Amino acid sequence: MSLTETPNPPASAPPGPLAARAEGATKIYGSGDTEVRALDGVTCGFEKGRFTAIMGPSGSGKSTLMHCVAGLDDLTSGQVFVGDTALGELGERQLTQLRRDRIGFVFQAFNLVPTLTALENITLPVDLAGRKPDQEHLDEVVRAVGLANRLDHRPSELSGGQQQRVAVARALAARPEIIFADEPTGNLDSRAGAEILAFMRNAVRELGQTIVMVTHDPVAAAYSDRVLFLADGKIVDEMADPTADRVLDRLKQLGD
Amino acid sequence: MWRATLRSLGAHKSRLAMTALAIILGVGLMSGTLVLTDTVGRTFDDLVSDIYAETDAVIRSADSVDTGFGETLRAPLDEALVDELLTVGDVVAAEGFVQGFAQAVSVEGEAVGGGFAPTFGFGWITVEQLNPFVIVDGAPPSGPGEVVLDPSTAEEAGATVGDTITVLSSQEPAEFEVVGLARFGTIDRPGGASVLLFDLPVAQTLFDLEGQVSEIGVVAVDGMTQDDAVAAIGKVLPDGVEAITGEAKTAEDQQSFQQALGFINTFLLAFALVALFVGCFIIYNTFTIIVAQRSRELALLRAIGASRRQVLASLLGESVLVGLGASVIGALSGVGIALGLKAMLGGFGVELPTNGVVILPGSLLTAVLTGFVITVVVAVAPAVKASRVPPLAALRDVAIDRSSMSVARVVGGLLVIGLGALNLVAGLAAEGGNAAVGVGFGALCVFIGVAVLGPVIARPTTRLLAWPLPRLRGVTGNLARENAIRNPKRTASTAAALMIGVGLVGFITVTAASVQSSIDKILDDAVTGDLIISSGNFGMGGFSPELAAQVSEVDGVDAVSGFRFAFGSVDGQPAFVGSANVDVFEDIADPEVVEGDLRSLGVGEIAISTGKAEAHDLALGDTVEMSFASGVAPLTVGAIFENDIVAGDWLMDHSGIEAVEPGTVDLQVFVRFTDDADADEVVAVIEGLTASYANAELQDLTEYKESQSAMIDQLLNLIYALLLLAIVIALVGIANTLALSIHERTRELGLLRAVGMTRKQLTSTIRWESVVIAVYGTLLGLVIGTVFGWALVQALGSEGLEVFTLPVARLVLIVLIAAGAGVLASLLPAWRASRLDVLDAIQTE
Repeated sequence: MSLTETPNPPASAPPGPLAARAEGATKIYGSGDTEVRALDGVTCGFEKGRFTAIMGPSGSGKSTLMHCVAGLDDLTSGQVFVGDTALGELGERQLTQLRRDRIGFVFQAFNLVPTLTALENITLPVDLAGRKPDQEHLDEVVRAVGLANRLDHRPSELSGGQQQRVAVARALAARPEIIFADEPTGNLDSRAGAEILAFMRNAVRELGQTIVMVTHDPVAAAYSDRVLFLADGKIVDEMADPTADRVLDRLKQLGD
Repeated sequence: MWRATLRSLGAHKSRLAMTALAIILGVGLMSGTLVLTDTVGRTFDDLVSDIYAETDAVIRSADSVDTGFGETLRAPLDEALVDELLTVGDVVAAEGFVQGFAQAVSVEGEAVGGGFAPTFGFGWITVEQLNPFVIVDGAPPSGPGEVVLDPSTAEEAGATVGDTITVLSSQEPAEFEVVGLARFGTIDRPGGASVLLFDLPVAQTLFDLEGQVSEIGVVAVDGMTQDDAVAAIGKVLPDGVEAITGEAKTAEDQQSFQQALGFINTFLLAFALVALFVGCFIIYNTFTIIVAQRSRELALLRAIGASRRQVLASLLGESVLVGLGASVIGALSGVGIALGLKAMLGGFGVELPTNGVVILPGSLLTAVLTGFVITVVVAVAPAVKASRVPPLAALRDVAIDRSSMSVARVVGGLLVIGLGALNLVAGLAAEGGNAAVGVGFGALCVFIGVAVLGPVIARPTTRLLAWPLPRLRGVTGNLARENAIRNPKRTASTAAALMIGVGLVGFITVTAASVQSSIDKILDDAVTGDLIISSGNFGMGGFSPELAAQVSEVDGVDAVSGFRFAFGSVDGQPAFVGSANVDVFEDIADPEVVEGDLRSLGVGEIAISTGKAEAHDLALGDTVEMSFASGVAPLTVGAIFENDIVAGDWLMDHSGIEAVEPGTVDLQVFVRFTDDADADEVVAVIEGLTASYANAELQDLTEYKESQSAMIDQLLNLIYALLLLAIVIALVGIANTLALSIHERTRELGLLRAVGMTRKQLTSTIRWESVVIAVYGTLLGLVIGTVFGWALVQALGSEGLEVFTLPVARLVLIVLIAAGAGVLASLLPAWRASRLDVLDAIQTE
């Protein structure tokens, strides 16, 4: 798996089984005059082993959708599923365990615990579960992100790109059913960003990982297999095998 | 800018609440102490002026001996003087007062009172103007076999009017009928003492004062000034007898009580100052953290044009408002704390009379000013530092501080510790007030020095200390350990606050254990007797010498010696003069005579310790002028002994003390059995003899040592209780630091929760972080306390404190309690952290 591979859109694949899905997901903040419908009856699915990007202008509800599907936020109405598990029926504790065991996260920034070494950060979810990490898989992930010689370093001793690679490695290490990435390259320069994106795409291709990424960057979205477009809390379009130009065009239409 | 200050206070009020709490507690204890002593002082002043309100003159022996406990003793007067005074034309009434030892026995057969509480017997005064007592039930005592009790003593004795109780005195125990109950002015009884009142001739017999009175009160004709009355009386007074006005007597009593109260005041204020000192660390820590967290906001203020001076003024303004507000609340809460202190001291046997609550503006103002000034002064350093924030620092991440190691810090810390150590050593070598100042200042310096060094030692020490955590608790343990040391400065100053309280606890614990084992060793070495009959009374009272006489008749008893006690003074210094049956004393206890012969000591002779021989430059055969209440007695030094623990510094024969201080009673009776005696049998016979002496306790050496250690423990517990506040403040500090740190780590906590840390795991992480800090501070304190204790033992080795004992079990217990307290301190911050909304936390700026 090479980290510097250039974007190369894959062939469109038929819809497969879903890793997670939303049904009539509605999220309302406030009430009365100040009511804001962040999600307005969204129904969508994220196929297993595919790289899905969620795009939309700010305030479109893309982050809210991700947070709700990832069990970080709850819906006003509707339901979200990870596998066959309906998140709305889970208690706080079960949701936490679901995030730990079945979901991986990559945030835009502040992804790592500053007091833990890179390796400790990578194995954090596994450690929290009190399990032994799968050493073979761990070695593979570490080698893939190219951090083998930086494992003892604390986050403050790593560059921004390296920190994000550690974050991706953490998300992969626990072999989650689905990884949610929230603007994972938002804080990186384009070269470091390209590395991360290529690495994520390869994780999908070669390890069969499922990844859902929220982004506003058409170049980033171009690494995905499929793009969902959100506007005003609704899914307004989707695009298979995106390229940066096509995504940009589509976004321009949405903006109008 | 002031608006910004107020806004900031409002925005950080929950963070400042804990600082305020630390100030409130310290100022509260201070104000409580002042309110309590004001109240007690006023109550006693009123009481005394009430008592002597109608007494125009008091006649007494001119010579006196100061007991060193705020009380003076005088020789009794001849009773005939009363009649003589009545012949003076201006005298309307005169009556003799008689005072001595009398102790009631409850209907269950237990001695009432005793220990540190005085057990007073008085003669009933029939002249109403002179009598401070008021009958509240029944009748005054009017003949043999009648006694009047104070209501509290009656209640403790389980007796009411008409019941019969046993009374202990310098005579054999005897039965008395309770004919009435009487109050002392407006209060039940003075200072926790028990009061028994008898008809005057009865009292004189009981106190060995036949034909004598302690003092005489005089009422003059109406319209005569007290000074004129004293002048008129003066003509009939024999040599060595003086008359003073009722007013002068009032002032004298008030002054001596205020002096005794002054000790309590100073003692309690010392703990208030410790609490405030601990509070300083909390104030410093909170302001430092808050200011650090606000550095971005402050930089913004600077960027938009606020001057450094304005930022500084704004920050100091905050400390002014918090300091003033908290100090006022603390001072006011002192009223309630005063009542709590009174109840607590009462629980330890120190009963203080109070009537209402006296609140003097001066006392409250002192407390407010102290708290206020401390807060502002301590806040200056963080404020100055914050005002130096450059305008461009607006985007700085406050994550891990590694700026703790600096040569200046190490050198500075070591210098301050060195200064402290020098003062400690000098203080230990000095005498009296200088010693206290030297030791106090030395200890203060050591604490500050260690606090300065804190950040340097915190990281390696806590890392070592928390070493097992990751192994025991996995990743939560690892996080707890890393968090506990991620900001060494913060950890150090948080732990330093706890270090002070625990340091003092450790010091007194080690010292008390060393005192205990030193006493044990000396007793083991010196006491060869088989049985000690102990009265459990320290101040006054004990057994009639009859008991010792009876015990000596028992078959199987080889030697018996009572041990008595009289107050004397040499060269103006109080001297506690013991007396024994010197002919057999050495068979029972060995004071290690080095010169002369103790056994042949007669009337007019005294044995002295080597320590006193040196201090007063006395040799065998020299004469020492010993002042007693009865006057100055020239005593010849007949023996010099080494061990001043078994018999004190001054020892006479009973015959010798009887000659100068008649009516003293045995505090203890030492008994040695014959070699072939059946100990159990002898003890049984002696138990029969002591049956009527309710205050007698039969102890072998082991039990005697245990009762001694019980006394030490009681004092220890009082000090523990008073230090508790300093420790509670330190725990508030830990909770506060945790809360502030957690606030700072909100995003990190959100991340941890997002990737699957359960609430329970998060709580556990914070709990262990707290435990690490608490145990670290405790260990630091115990090390310092142990070193202090060791130094004290070294310094006082020549004065009988020769064994250094490390009470390991107790110290381990302290560490465990500290760990538990750490858990307690983490409860609120951990709960709040676990309730954080995950999504909000991740998205926090």
